[in-house]
Amino acid sequence: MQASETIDQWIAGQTSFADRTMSQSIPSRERFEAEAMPHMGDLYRTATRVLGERSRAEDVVQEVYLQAWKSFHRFEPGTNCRAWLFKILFHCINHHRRKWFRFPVLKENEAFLEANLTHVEPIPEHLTDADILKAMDNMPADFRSVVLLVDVEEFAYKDAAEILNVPIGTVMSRLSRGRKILRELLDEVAQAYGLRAGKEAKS
Amino acid sequence: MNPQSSGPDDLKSRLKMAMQSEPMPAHLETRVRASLRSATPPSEGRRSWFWTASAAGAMALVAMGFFAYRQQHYSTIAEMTQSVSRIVRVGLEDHLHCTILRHQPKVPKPLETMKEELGPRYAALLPAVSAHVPEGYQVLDAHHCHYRGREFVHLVMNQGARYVSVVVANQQPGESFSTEQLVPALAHSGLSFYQQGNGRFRIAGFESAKHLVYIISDLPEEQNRQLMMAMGGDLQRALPAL
Repeated sequence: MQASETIDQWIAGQTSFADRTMSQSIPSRERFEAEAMPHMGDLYRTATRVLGERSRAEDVVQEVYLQAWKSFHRFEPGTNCRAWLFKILFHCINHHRRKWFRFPVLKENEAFLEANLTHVEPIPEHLTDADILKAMDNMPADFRSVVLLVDVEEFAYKDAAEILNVPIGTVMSRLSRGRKILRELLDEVAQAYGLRAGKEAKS
Repeated sequence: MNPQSSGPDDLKSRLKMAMQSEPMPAHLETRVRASLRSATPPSEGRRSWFWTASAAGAMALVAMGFFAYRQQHYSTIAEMTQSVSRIVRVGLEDHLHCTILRHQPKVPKPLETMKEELGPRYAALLPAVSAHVPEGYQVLDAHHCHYRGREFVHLVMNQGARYVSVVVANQQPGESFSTEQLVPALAHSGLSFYQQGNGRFRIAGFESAKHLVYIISDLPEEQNRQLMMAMGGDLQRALPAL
């Protein structure tokens, strides 16, 4: 998306997902609600994890639905509405991220992480959901987004690549690294709880 | 869960469970639905805007075209009538506007139609004109028409593309051939006839108590004057007194 491009303009110019077969008929609100509303929970939870704040997640989800409704005449029934909504979600997030906050992008650490996160620990059973979510929140944003889309929302690599507007190879490498980062973070939590010995103890 | 499982499926299932543990706020769906209700329906706004703008643009173009055409029409007539006196110009303008610059019917209107269009007040003009139609001509049309806000009673005769108009206008205060310092070309049947020419067109006219009457044609001057002499008395009698 160009810097000067609004979300409206970006959505109008999209040719992926819903736009592959464009319908010129004016859709009904009932059809939109039937197609789009069931995904609100997934959108909200993903937005909350990516943004780290519930109130902003609510704002963004509302914006996603408004933008989707405005361009729903371009949506063809039977295509992937969920992926289309997630793509709008991530573009809304990217549109606002500069205004709201700075994401910690840790690209300089990727080589370090790749080199050091080789040991795959089992996830301790006694970690709570809150521990897991907190660990996820501590992941670098780019990795977190891929893990959320592929592992939680179960999008195919190809769809995740379209949603995030990155090459499919990037999705695969970020997913691999993201999982390792998350395991490492969970392991740290487990060590803090005394559920698992530290690396030094193991070696 | 098997505490020793360490594959991606283990991680995914724990992540999903953790994510699902956070419920969506109950008010969010209400909030979204409310914002959707107040939003413009998809594409309808753009389409209605598009059609409104298109219609406005088309209307503006038509209006501009009409205005330009009308201005051209006016300026053409003004140019063609500049050499005649003001009182003669009244009739000549309507002849040019209604007979020369507009398309005329190819076949004469039915007599009853012309009577209806003239109305009872002026219907008697039709036989007065019909009785004196030049040889080879026919009464083509009879109607009321307007030019620059003024109403005329207009009877048209033709022979192919050659036209003769009998134009009658209500006399306005101060309007008179005599006040224009025109010299009558002749007097006949108690009427003073005035005559002027303007290139192609010959204009003969007289005034009754309430009307200005013109015969305008591209006939030779003498023929046009004779037509007025022949027709003048009947026209005056056919005109309403009030």
